[in-house]
Amino acid sequence: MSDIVRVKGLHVTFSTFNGPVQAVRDVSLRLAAGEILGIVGESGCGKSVTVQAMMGLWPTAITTVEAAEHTVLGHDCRSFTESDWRTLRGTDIAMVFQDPMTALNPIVTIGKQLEEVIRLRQKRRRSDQKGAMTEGIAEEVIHLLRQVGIPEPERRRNQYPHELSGGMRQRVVIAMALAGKPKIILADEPTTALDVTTEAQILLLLQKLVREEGMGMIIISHNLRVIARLCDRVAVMYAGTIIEEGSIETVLTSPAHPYLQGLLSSLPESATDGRLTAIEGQPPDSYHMPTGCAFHPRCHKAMRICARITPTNSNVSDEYSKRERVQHVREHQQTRECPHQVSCWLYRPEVK
Amino acid sequence: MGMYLVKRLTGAIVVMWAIITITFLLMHAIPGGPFTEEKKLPPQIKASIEATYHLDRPVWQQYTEYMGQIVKGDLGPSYKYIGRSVNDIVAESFPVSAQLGFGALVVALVGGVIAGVISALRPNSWIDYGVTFFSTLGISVPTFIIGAVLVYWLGFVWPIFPVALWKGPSYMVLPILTLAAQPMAFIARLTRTTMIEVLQQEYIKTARAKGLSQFQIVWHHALGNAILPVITYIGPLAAALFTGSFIVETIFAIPGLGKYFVTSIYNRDYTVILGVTMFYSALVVAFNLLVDIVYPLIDPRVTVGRRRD
Amino acid sequence: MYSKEDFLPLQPMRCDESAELITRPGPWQRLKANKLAVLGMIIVCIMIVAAIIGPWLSPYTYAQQNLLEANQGPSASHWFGTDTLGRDLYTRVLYGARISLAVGFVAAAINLVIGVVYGGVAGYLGGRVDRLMMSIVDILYGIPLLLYVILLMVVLSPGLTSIFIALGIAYWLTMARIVRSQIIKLKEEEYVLAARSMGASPMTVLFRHILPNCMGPIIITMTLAIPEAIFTEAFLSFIGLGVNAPMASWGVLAAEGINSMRSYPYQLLFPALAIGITMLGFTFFGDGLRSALDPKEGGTK
Repeated sequence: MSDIVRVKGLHVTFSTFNGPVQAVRDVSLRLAAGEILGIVGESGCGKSVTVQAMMGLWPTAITTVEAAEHTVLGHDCRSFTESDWRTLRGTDIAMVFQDPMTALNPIVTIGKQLEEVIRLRQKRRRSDQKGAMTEGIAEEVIHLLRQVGIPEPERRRNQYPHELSGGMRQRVVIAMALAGKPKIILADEPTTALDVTTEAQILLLLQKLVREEGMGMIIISHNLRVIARLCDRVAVMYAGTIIEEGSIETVLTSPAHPYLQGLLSSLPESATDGRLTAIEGQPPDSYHMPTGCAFHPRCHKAMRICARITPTNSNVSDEYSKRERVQHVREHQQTRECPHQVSCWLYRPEVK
Repeated sequence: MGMYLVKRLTGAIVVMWAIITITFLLMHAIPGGPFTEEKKLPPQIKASIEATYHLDRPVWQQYTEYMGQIVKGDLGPSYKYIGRSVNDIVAESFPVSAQLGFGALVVALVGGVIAGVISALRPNSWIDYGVTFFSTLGISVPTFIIGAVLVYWLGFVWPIFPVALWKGPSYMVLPILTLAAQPMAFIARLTRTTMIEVLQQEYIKTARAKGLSQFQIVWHHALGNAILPVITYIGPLAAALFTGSFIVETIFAIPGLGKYFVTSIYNRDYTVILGVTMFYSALVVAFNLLVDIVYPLIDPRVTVGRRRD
Repeated sequence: MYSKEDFLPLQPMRCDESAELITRPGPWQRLKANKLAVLGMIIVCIMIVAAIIGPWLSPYTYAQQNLLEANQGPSASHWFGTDTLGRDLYTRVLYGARISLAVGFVAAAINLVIGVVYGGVAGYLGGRVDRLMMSIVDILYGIPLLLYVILLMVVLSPGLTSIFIALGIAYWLTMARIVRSQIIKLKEEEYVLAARSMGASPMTVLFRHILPNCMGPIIITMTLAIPEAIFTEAFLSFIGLGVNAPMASWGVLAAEGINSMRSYPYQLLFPALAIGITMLGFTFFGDGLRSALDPKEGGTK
């Protein structure tokens, strides 16, 4: 039971003006302690919705979240109420939000916004403190700000978000997630709003902090380069479901799903003859999901069955994933399976 | 800050100058002058009266005199109550109006914000429907009808509160409720809308993801942002309360400035009309100035002098 | 379970892609789906129709006195009863609708014309002219205008025309501000720049490309201005500055009703209901319009 997060068969449905929209369909994910899992996919494919559902952030009034299994640190979260969630949030599972411009309260100083989490943690962990906590709250705020690389933290903590640059704000958002010393961090495109230099700094910082504290992290990005640099494992999402999953090396070097193959060959660096290729067509409209495999209208390898029945997961190659497993064990000194799985009819045994 | 204050004060002075000038021009636009209605006055007496009030001088001279008078804070004599100045009338009756207005201001702000927040926290619940119903009703019915209905039910059908005069706390209940009803309804609607909008903001999601309690989220993160529009409404609110008080003081026979004002309209007592208009305008300008100075203290994004749109 | 055919390549048929275009609800659909907004619209329409044809359907006139029938309660011959002078209240309330609604629409129309011209000129010309024109608006904004409406009414002597003038010239400020800010925003839009770069004349740009896109906020401001004017007229009537007797707006009727409220509460009830229901109608309609035209407030996220 080394998984700190396990989700099976997650469905998220929004009720909207035009009727229900299935934003996430049958997603299964797991995360081990100390592991970094990446989720990639284009905008609107349900990445953010998935992770926000993982910590119960969707209001029940307009959203239905269903899952066959949903465990966070051993707690069964399927029937969690808002107040049950509250006991986990901040100190066990924390989130780094996407847009640092809107994720901070504009009329509260960043120091105060950090303090809240520290106080909360101190209150919750009062029982298992062994007198070691002597650091005052103000010192801890300064320490956190310094940890995420904010210069002059003594002065900065009394400033309001609008007085900080985008990169600085994103660092504050990260500090806020770290302040509760959580075991799981969900990072929702933490660098989209930043320029390239800052992006690299922030990503390295996140990776370093997560490794140092032994936390598990799920990081969302639409940027394959970010994922390649950071993660142990990657899950690729398309139109609300995971279509391919495996260790980062395998998935990126030998992609199985036609969508991912197309995506990778559309990257500028993979253009061999100097010409860019692109996946034809548009991602499906969430009000009119295609039947069967959601990708089939754009897939040049599509078969008749693809339009009829949604494919289930299959291992890409047993042999390959065995080798993979050995390699992974060697690297991480852990006995973990990391099968390369894809949901595509091309890889079903029936097809062969 | 110092520069800003100077700038705002200059602005306020310009506004006051505009007010005085408009008022002066309006006074002189009255056909035939203020004493025309006293038809039977013999010409000598009329001339002497006009001489007393300097109405026989050229217009520009009257204007400079009037300006000088106003700058000194002298609102002039009453044409109808001989021997009393507008200043006397204001000094005597404004304290009553101030009590009424301040009471209504507090009731409207506190009641409106609380109602708006509660209904925004439970959208589409029965309490939200209740608040929405009463606040929509409140902005749809004129103040004098609200006052009349309150008088009818709480004064006659169930005589709980006195319905006239101003002699103690129990006398204040109905007038303050009447005066506060409309602004309170408006504030409740405003607060509800902005609060719902604020609750959908990312930073509220951040606060939830931090594990904060509902109370902390509402109190520390949502409320401050949600009442910003309410604060900018305080200036217009003051103006609304003054004009509302004309009605409320007339209905409840309260000896305040508003009642004098309405009476002086019936009597065509021009100097009192002009004086009271000037006095209330100055107060509204002062309120707006106050709000503009206080606002940056609450919203740090607004560096003094630039209000966020 | 599967036939062999299933694994044949899929025919490239992509017709459904273009056929099933996304249909996002337009403002009109959103407005129609909002029951309260529709109710508001119906109320306003009924009131307008009643004001136009209502008085003809009554055997009495608004000024016809019959002291023998004074202060009668509602009955078959006098649906809303009669007032202290024996005038038929039903007829007077419908006549009042004419006056009150006329005040609302005429005042709002004057506001519209002044506001659109003033705000349009300031916004379109920009620069120094804009700054000057808007600082005038700012100065006027600092003045409690209702007081000056009262002063104007005192100066102009009470009457319907005076009310039109006083309300019309006092409340155009909001409209001017909104039109100006819209125009300034739209002036910078890509499609306006595109039109201009293709050599469209300033008039074409203003009337073809800018003004039609300001319609939303302008209509919303109108739905607020009309009830505001009706309210102000009622207020003026109450302090004795309304239309001249025997004409009567709802405000005059309600003010008269208050005087005889203790003995004959129905004399207040009917005018009060008429004002209240009409205001509700405008409020519902305005709220619905605002959330229909402003997708940010659309409710579905």
